[in-house]
Amino acid sequence: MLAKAPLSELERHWATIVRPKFQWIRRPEYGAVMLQGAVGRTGAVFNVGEATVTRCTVQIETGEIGIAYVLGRNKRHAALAALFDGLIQRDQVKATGTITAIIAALRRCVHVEEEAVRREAQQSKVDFFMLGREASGE
Amino acid sequence: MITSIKGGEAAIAASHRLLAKRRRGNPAIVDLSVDQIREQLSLAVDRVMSEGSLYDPGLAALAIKQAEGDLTEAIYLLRAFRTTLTRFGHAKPVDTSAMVVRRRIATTHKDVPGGQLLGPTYDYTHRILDVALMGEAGSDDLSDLDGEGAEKNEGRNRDCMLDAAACALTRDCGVLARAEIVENARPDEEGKVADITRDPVVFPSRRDQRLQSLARGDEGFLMGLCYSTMRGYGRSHPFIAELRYGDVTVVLSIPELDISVGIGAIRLTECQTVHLTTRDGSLPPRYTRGYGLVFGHGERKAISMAMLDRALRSAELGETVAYPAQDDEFVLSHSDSVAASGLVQHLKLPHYVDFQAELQLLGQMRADYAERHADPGLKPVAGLAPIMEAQGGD
Repeated sequence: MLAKAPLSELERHWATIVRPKFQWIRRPEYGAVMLQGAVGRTGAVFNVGEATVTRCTVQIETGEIGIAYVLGRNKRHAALAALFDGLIQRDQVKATGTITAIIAALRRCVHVEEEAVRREAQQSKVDFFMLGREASGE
Repeated sequence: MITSIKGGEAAIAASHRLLAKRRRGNPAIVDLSVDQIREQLSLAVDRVMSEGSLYDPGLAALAIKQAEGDLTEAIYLLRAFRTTLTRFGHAKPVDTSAMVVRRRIATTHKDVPGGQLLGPTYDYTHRILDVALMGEAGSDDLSDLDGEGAEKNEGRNRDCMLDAAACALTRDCGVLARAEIVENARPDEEGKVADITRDPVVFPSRRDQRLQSLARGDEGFLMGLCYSTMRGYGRSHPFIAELRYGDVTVVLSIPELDISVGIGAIRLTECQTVHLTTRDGSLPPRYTRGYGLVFGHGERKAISMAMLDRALRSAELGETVAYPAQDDEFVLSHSDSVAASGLVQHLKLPHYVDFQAELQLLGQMRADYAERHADPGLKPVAGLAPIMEAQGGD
């Protein structure tokens, strides 16, 4: 979710929380991953091509390690995703629920966007109709 | 004697300045931003990503701007950049059944589960230039002066049953659902997936090598070959069982954690074709599959890829390999636009020595010809003498 959500949403939530002290284990860096496909979704696997990725690792003051891999070249996105990843772990230990709620909000945001795409596609669904459907018994 | 030729640095620098000037065009016109290209020339961006073999819309848009819209040059730029990236790992095969579908058609059955979703397509446009897109329509636009009052609501907000529709798209539909007549899409026996960016293809090729090669191949070349199979240069009786375009999640096994997580979404076009296959005597007549998968929205390319995937399986399926589209060495060796462009454009490089050698050969052959045909009047090769003189002067 941290990778899929738009950066603007991460920034918005980042602005609402108490910022932790942290240190960089691996500052954000660009690279690539090779993407794969499978014939007919189950068959022979092959490489389709690569995609750019930014990765980052941080350690927050309470010791949790946050790791992020995010498609594209956006160091800020990778850094915030890594920080949130560390914070979730602390959140789960302390059971405060703040970050968990943020992740849930991000999930809803991504879901809403995907539903909007599906809804748009549904608008262009073909309605077939046949003349004389009843007469021909089809 | 080998004579090296130096010089030209100043001319090359001047050429670069001229290039920058032409790229900018009329300075009175606002500069085109990379964001505008990414958002408004998205199909060009998709093609550059697909053939550049790197999914990154921003970089592809930059390449298009830098190359002044020359997509083959832009593809070259992106390929060159790709080689500078550290590879963090391999993602899992994309799950196109879980795609957030933006467009989906099936041509074998009208009422496939999930329906025919036209999405954004030029298929049903009239191919008439739309002058309104020139942005100069202001003074000609009388559309709000038709006396009809306010626009009617077309009532398109139908009750979508979105979940059911999305669910239907996760299953094989139409002919693909008929396992008794369509070959099973079975995995390769060999575990390691070939990577043509690391190991060159050796012939006869494997299907994973061919698919990777086709995925980055030149759209025009692949489409021409696909066209040839349909016009009789290769037996092909295809149906598009399903063509879809949309967003899929990229899942990566994080090396540090050894768990798989989604790291974002990309857009893909997938084409699955079925071909009536009767020649393989060991199996009953059935449909065999072709498969195409390309970055972004590229239907011509995805269809061509699927058709060629199938054509290149001719030998495997007991068919005679008689035409170019069935010959893996021919197709794979010539489908890469970066390689092809390199050899074609090298013709612009100095060939002074080659040409000298050939002129001398021509002079010798013409002298032999004159002797054999007793034609002392045959003129010596024009230009040979002065050029040899100049060479002597070097």
